[in-house]
Amino acid sequence: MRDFVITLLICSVTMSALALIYMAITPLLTKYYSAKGRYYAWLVVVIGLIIPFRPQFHNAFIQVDVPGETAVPVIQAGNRLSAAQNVYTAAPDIVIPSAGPTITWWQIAAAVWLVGVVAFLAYHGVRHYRFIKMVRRWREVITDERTLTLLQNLKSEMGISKRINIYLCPGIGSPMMIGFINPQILLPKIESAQDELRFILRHELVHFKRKDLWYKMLVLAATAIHWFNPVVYMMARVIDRQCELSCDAAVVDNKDMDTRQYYSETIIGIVRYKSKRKTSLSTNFNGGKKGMKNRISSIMDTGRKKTGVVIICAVLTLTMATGAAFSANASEQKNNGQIDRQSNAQTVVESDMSIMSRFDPATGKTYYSWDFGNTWTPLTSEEYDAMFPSLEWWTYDEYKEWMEEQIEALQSLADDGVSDYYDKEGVLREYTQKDVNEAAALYQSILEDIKNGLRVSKTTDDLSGTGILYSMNDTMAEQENIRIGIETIIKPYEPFGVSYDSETCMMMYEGHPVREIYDPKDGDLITITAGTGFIGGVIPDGAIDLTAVYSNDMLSGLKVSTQEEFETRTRERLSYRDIFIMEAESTPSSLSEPSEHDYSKYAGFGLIFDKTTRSLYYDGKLVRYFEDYYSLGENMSAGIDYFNKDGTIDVHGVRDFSQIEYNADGSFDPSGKLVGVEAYSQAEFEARDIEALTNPSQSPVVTYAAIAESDEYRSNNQGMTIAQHLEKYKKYGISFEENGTGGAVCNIYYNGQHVKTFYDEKPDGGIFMCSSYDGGDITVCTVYDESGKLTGVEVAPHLD
Amino acid sequence: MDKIKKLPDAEFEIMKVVWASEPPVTTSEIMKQLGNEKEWKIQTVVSLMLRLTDRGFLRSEKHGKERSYFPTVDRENYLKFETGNFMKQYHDNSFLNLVNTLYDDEALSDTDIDELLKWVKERRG
Repeated sequence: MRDFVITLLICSVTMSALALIYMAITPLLTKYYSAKGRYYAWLVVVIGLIIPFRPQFHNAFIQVDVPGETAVPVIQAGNRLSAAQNVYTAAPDIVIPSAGPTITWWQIAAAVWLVGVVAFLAYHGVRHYRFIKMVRRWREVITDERTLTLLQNLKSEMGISKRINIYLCPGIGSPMMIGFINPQILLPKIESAQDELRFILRHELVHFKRKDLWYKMLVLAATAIHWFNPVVYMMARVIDRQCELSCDAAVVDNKDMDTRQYYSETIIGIVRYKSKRKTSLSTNFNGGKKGMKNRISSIMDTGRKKTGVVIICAVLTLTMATGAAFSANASEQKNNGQIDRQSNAQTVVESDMSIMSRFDPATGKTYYSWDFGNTWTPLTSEEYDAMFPSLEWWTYDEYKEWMEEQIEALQSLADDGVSDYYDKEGVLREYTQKDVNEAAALYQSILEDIKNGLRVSKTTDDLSGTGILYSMNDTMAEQENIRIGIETIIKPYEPFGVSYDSETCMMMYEGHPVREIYDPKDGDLITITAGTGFIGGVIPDGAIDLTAVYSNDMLSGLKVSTQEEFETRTRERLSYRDIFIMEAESTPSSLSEPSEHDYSKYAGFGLIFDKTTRSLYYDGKLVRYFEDYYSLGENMSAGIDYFNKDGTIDVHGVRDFSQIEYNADGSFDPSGKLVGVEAYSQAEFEARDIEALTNPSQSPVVTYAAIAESDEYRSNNQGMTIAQHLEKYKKYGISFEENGTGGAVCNIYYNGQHVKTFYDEKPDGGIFMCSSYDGGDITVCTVYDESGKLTGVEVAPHLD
Repeated sequence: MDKIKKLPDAEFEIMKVVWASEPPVTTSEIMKQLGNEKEWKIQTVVSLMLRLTDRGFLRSEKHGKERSYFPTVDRENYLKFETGNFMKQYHDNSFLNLVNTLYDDEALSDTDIDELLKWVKERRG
């Protein structure tokens, strides 16, 4: 809307300037160029006024370079461990919410403009209708044979075949032609000699032939659109005169001086008749004389003229050039718009490899999810690219340099004192030193984060160039950063009882795991999801959603969802969620370098860590394998393990989960209570697959999420595991390992190569896809023959 | 005369016939020229004529059985009235009208026009 108003105003102003220039040089052009060329050059201007939007040139004559990345409004944090998207807005005040109840100047301007256009058109519509009605009442059919024959002769002479009625009409002062569909010539009640009549009819027929009424219609449209611009009215008058001049020129084309004089006298005769009638109506009759003199000189002018194509081209070029001015303006607009978009950002972030896609043959759209299937968004590939550009990470030095440039640019904005922006209330504000300081502080804190090991991406797309993304790996070293990141996000809610449990990676509230917090801050709904416990749709007991409650724009509390609300949301998600199996957590990183700290708590149960040999002993024997895992929910576990090939005994920790102790804040330790260490039996010791434990690196355990598409496909295969799905591809060279219960799959291979993504696009449009989070080398897709029969699989590098 | 109002279409049609005929006219003459064509009933024509009389456009005299009518507003005056007001505003910005007029500019005085004619001849020479 704002863009439209601005574009219209700019169009009006630039085209007016062009029109004024053209009017000013018209007397010079008259000498060398034909009236026709001058007349049609105006048409370009008229169309330029009607269509305010021009193709935009990138090489504008004037490039206005507005510092684009003036703000860092959105910081998006995502991490893989929590498998959650955490969006929060940490913008300086420069953020512009696009929605707001405030009425802005451009809304008023647009409303006024529209009312004006409607009023203008209504006025002219009614006027024209009344005129037509009057003509109908008074017109008299001409029966005079001579007049009718004359018209017929002229028509065939000029190659006009359309039926044109001719009437005598008292009440009009001058011959005229009306009617778009049924053209009719109206003659005033005036005695004209046959030769005079010939000129008059010829003049009107030239109008008809050149479709001057349509031209007039365009002029009227341009005037309606630019009703507020006096120059446009001036232009309409000038065009009207130019129209008559070029029409006269066509009438007397190739005629001798006698004819030209006679024609002039005919017109003067009409002027006399009209003036007599008009004297009683109007007192103002001085301005017409100069116009009449011009007209007569033009008629009497037998000099050879150039057609004036040059003028038309020049005007056309200038009209397009006004587009260049727009271009400069538009780049400014784009930047503004950009900030708009960002404030609304529901944009989310790739957390390592957890973006999922599905193609819906019913709608023909591809849906993406970046929160493990909780929500799906259709995106075009352009949108996807814009949202998830291939990531590049800032280095400390790079960011520092960029930051300094930005601050300098912002500083100059503030120093100018002319840079305005719309704040949260939609009020135009000056960009002040305070804003610079706030932005600088934000940059500084991000720089600090980078220094502390956070990975911050610079997006590569210009449009979203200001988006910043935190991504954290789930390595032990970065666990702390994840915690800090999430705690920052939930900080506003902490006073109201929300806490983050880094052990379980869940938000907690009064002893309940929190699935999501909805925050309708500034009119934007921010959804915060955190918690491993929710991966794969597994909802821990007692889970809740929270909604932030505001009073007087201040966060005042949290509302716990009712059981029904919670379940409704769950159902809503499931209804369009297509993941039927999801294995979220990779197998715990095996066989980490042992240290004393890890084992101290087992010392009381007889498991001793020897610092010098860095080995574990149990019951006096060297331990070969030790594990102490506990479940975090379905398919997930945490804990430690140990391996030493020379050991002679396998042992494991024993935990008691029957007496979970709740902390004061309601959180609890899912690891239960360590109650002992037990040795495995000799049979279990012998059965253990040593190979897998000795060479874990050669066989990285890669787990997959699978997605299947199309309703038909789903209903036919309800409840099937990934393993069962993959079974049918086995004969084409696909092999895989099953991973625990539930049919989850790890390590898919194709001809010995580790598969990253397996992709089966069925001829009916359905898709089955297995995508790894953390490994694999190749992408493999299925091959179908013409009849739609599966014939094989092949490596598909193009799908990467 | 100041009280003239714009006639509705039907009454205007009657007046057109009245103006075109030699006064006085009778209802049956109007009926002959117009009523049949418009498929009006005689009562309609009679009541339209009475309305016109009320409006002051016609004056009636009774001659025996038949009533005859005389126009009291002449055609030129009425034309001037009806088109005058309209043309006045219509010509204020005639360049925006959807008509092609041969001459559309302001009226000129007789002296100016004579001057123009003279000027044409001079240019010729």
